[in-house]
Amino acid sequence: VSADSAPPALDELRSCFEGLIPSIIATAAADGTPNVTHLSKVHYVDEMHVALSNQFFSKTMRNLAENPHASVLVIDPVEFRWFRLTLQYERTERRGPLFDQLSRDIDAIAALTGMADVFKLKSADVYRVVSIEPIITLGAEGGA
Amino acid sequence: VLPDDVVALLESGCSTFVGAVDADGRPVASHTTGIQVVEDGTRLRVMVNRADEEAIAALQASGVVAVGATDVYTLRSIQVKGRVVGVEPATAEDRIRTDAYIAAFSHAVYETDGTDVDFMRRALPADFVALVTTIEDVFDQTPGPHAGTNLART
Repeated sequence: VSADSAPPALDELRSCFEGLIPSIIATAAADGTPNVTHLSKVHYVDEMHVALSNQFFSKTMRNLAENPHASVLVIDPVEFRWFRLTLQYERTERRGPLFDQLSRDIDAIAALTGMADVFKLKSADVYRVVSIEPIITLGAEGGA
Repeated sequence: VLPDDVVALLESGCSTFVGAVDADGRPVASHTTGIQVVEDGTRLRVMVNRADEEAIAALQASGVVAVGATDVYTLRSIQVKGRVVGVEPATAEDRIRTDAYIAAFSHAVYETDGTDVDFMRRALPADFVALVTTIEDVFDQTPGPHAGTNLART
């Protein structure tokens, strides 16, 4: 996908959702104060939705209660290309197949990063993907 | 006043990123290529991808910013909340510091997961601008029970 061509579809970014490289999430409080943090796992739900792992996220979740928009950076671990997902929060799941899958993924990431005593999935938060934007870098068309 | 260990982390080869808010109140995340603590520890100078026009517009629109930094080896994480002083062209010193930052960050990633240093360059910006921010609050954001602790030394 070229940075100058049409944005990719969500299912074209499946490699970004393998959890190999941490993502970044920004949210904003009602007063407009931003919050930014790393994110362990973005999970592909369907062609319009992703789920984010919520282990801590206390400030992020407070912000989303006030302002349902989020901005997430994911990186393709094969091509090393960044994409920015603009998201709208829809719902939280604390049980069921999606939660169980994400919980297993987080346990695996925790084991790999030495965070087994710290990472514990609290919820799988589901967002609608509003837009996808390739970020221009040295590895993306237009970046060099 | 920032504790010395916080300054050391911010200026190291850590993972760095920013969150801004656009004119419609929507957050915008962007990755960055290094942080310098300046003006006697009262401001940050953060290198932002010059091609990321959406992030730069958001930084200028709202005037507020969150700057994140995470140590690649330990995952120790810091978040600084500040006000945007300006977005300006990178200086020659910025470019020298950024080259050193990229070398340190790439080496850290290589040591932790074996990613090829040259290949990693694909994810870097071709050029950057300098975001200058005040330092209003500093928080520990390391995963665990101390996340959210205010680290500013009074």
